[in-house]
This record gives sequence, C-alpha cells and structure tokens, in this order.
Amino acid sequence: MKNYIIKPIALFYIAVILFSQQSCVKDTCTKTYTYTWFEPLYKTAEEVRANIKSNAARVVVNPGKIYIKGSYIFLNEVNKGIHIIDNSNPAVPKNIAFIDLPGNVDIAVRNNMLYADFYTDLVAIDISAPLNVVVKKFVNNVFPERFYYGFPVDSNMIIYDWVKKTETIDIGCNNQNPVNWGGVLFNSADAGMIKSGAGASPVGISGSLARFALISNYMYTISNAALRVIDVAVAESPAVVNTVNLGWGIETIFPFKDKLFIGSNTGMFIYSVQNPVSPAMQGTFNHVRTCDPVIADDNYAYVTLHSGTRCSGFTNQLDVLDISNIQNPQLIKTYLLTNPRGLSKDGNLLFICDGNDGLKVFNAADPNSISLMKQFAMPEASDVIAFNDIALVIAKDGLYQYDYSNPADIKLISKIAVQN
Amino acid sequence: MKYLLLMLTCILFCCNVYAQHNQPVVFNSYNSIGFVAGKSPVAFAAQTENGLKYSNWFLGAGFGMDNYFIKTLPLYLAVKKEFLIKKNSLFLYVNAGGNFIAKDKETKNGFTAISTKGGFYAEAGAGYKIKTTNRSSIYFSIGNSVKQIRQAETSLDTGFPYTYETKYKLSRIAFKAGYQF
Repeated sequence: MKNYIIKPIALFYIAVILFSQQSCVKDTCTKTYTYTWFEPLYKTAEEVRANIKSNAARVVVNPGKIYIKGSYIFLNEVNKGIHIIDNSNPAVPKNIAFIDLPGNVDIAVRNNMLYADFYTDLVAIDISAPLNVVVKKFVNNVFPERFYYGFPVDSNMIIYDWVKKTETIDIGCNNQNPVNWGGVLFNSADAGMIKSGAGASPVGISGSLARFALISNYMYTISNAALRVIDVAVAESPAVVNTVNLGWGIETIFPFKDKLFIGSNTGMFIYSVQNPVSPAMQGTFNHVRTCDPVIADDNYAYVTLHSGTRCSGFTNQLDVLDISNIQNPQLIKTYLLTNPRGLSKDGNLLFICDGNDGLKVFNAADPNSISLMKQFAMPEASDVIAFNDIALVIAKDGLYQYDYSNPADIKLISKIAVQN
Repeated sequence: MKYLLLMLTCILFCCNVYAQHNQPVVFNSYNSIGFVAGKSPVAFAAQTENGLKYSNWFLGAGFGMDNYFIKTLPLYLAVKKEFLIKKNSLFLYVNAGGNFIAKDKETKNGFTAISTKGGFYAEAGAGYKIKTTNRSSIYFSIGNSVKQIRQAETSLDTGFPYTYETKYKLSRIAFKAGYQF
C-alpha cells in the first residue's frame, strides 16, 4: 500500500520538476503589421497634360464625387480622372468618355466649363463637346495641401498612377503600433456631392460631400483649413482672389443662395457671400467630433454625423437645425441612424446614404417628425443627388439611379456597376 | 471538422485492429478537472475523453474547456499508454488537436474590427491511475499543455487598409484529477 502512495508522489515531483522548466512554462507572443501602400508612377508633365482629353470610356473602379450638368453625369474616378456619362435617358446611362486627370478628386461645372483639381493645380476644361473636351487653363498651386511630401521634387514629373503594394513586418508585442510613412495612403472613400440650384442654373449640381461650390461668378473650394475664393467670371481663366482661414477639420461645402454651409468635424459654419470675394461667417453650430456633410434649405439645415474610419467619435445621427436665425442655428431634433454619409433633399423628400444600410428615403415635410418611407439595400452608400425626380446614388458597387416621380413607388431604373 | 475526421479514422482503425486480432476492446471514459498554470494567471480547466482501450493503449476523442488567458474549447485526439504497477498504473498521454474560441465574435469599435481565433492545442504528460473498482479508477496527471490564439485587428477604412495580427503561444503546466470508467 505504501508503494502505491510513494510512487505516484515521486512521479508527481519528477514531473513538476521537468515541466517547470523555462521552456515548458512560457507565454510567447509574435505580432505582425500588414499594410497596403501605394507607390507612385511618374510621367513627364507634358505627357500627362497632353492626355487630359476625352479618351475612350473606362469601367468605373473607384468612384468618387459626382456632378450633374444638363444631361451629363461627371463621375470622378478617385485620383485618376473623370468619367463622362450621357444620362439623357436615365434608364440607359452611357459611359461615353474618360478624361485622364491624375490627382483629381473634386469637380464643379459652370456653363460649359469644368473645374477640377489636378493635384496642387486647378484646371479649367471646356466640355461644350463632351467627346472632345479641351483644356483651357492650368492655375498652379491652388491646392498646396495636395502636395505629396516624401517624393522626389521634380517639377517636370507628375504622378499619374499608383501601384498597390502590401507588406508585412514583424513588430514586437510591446511596441507601439507603427505608422506607415513609406508611401501615400490615399483615401478612396470621399465620394461626394452637393446640390446648388435649379435646373436652369448655369452651374451643375454636386453632392453633399463636395469640396467645390459655385455661386454666381465665384467658385469656393475648401481644404482642411481654408476657404479659397476663385473668380470664374472669365470662365476659361479662373483666378484665386482670396483665401479665408477656417480652422482645422473642414470637410464639405454646400452653397445655398448667398450662403455657404461648411461642414467641419467639430461643427457647421455658415458664411455669407454677399460680398463674394470676402465670405463672412454668420453663424456656427458645434457638435461632437465626427464627420458631417451638411445641406440646407430656406429654414433648415440637415447635418449627418457619422463615426468610423478617419472620423472620430461614435455618433451616427441626423441633426436638423433651425436656421431661420442664421446667426444662431438651433438644433430642433436628432434622428439616430446607422452610419449616415451624404444626403440630398428635394421637396419633402430627404435622401440619406446610411452606409451599409443603403439609401433611406424620408418624408421630411415636418422636420420635427421625419419618417422613413423607403429603404434600398446597397453596400456602403456614400452620397446622393436628388434632382428632377431622379436620385443618383454612389455606393461601393456602383452608381444607382432611382425614379422618385411617384414617392409612393420609388423605383430603381439603372445601375452602372463598379468593376471589382 | 478535419480533427473530427481524423479522430473517427483512428477509432475505425482501432476497431479494425480489434477485429483482426480478436482481442478485448473496451470503452473508456476519462473525465477530469484541474488547473493550468503559466506566466498568466492560473485558470480552471476541464476535459472529457472518450474512446477505446486495446491492450494498454487508449485512443479517444477529447473535448474540454480551458480558461487560461482566454476561454477556449479544445477538441483533440487523445492517446494514452499504461504501464501496470500491480493493480494501479502509470500512464503517459499525448493530446493533439485544435482549440476554438468560446465566443468567436468579431467586435467593431468604429475604426477597426477585432477578431479572435484559436489555433493548435497539444498536451503531453504523465499520470497515475488508482483503481477503485474493477471498471473504474481515479487518476492524477501533470503535463505540459500548449495552446495557440490568434488575434487580428483590421482597419475598417478601405482607404487605409492594415491588419495587426498577434499570435500567442501559451505553454503551461496542466494539473488534473479525474475519474475513469
């Protein structure tokens, strides 16, 4: 009996000694960081500028901001150029041409002149003949914030494309997460739009995420911190006439009558352009730190706040503001949403792109009691323009068009798919 | 699933061996509770192993719960070899398989998605089995247990894609006491 007890106890001690060795009791950790970055490919400035014309139509791969002018849709392909889509029959939109314009993310159209950013420069393009557009003027260094630091400075070389590269590196488990400075990580999510006026207007209509806005003879552009005033009275010869500092975190600009509604990540600013060369701030509305496209009508401003990605915070909602007293906008009601982005309003219909919830159409006849009428599923809906009974919606998988001439029966009439 | 298929294959193989040699094969069940101790705080663990005993060999499928570092559920193939010491026995054991996260739920914080997954699980050690009746015993064992956990933090910003992947390999001592029938 004694052996039966002594032997297991001996066994136990031997095992404890063996298994207690350093190699047996150890928590090891390995950590890797996998990131994607983009390495620039260069061409000479002459080559790139010579190619800014109506080239053969291309498939849409990474749609950005969208602009409507007449029966044409101008759809930005982020950092690559502009698709020209003949939308004379919204049920059968035709992708007819592509303007190669590296570094382009924003567009605006007045009469027959398209203004677009071209990295740090502004370019004016005559689009009277969409199949044969003509560059009229380059204005250098209008957008200095678009300069990509860290690349060879050679004024004769222009980045025309980016090569996607993926790299995995080992980092210690105790190290801070690294930040990639080895290339440019450009953002593909800023599809945007604005609505700027009636159909007879000489200017086009953009989405609520736009950073260019046209009022009369002036174009207003925003950077992260500044509002620039560009005189476009002579259409083919735009000229920067003023720069107004706004503070950091500026995201979107929406023109309405003689006002500019500027969305920043901490609030909404209202600027008067009664003196168009010197916009003057008239009112502000502060909110939590997050992203916030804004649109407005005579009495109300509609601000969507969303979290995620570059946007701080955890707020996802629609704020409706009473702007009848422009100096003192008042929040009248907040509506919780999922991840709202761009929005557009036509009459009593309010269209909101609510991220992966898709497009939501609300009855906004009473801003105190906005009610959901219809929801259309689509992935990562980002912006919408509702105009002339057609709602154009940008989503991750394509450009959708809905006919809302009968609000009780809103129908999808066409879709231009994005190539994955 | 591949571990289950492997276990089934082994059990069928054993049945085949038995059929060929016509020797007694009996069902055995090992059920234990215990704790695992390592560099992280000591944690509770429990296991059940069920299979066939042929001669002095046991082959079975095991399932358990392991609260060390993060709660996981090991699913594995268990092999034991007994050495009789009078009516009791010393045994050596090896377990190998996978461990699965009890709640494998992706969490999103607005900026990133964090998912946790299991990995391999292995354990080897020795034990002592004290016979209590003709068909049952109590036993104690000590072994070295290793489990792997992988955690991935992925950016939700499609314009700024990145992933941090952390792999933990946790090597511990496993102390167990159990009942076999």
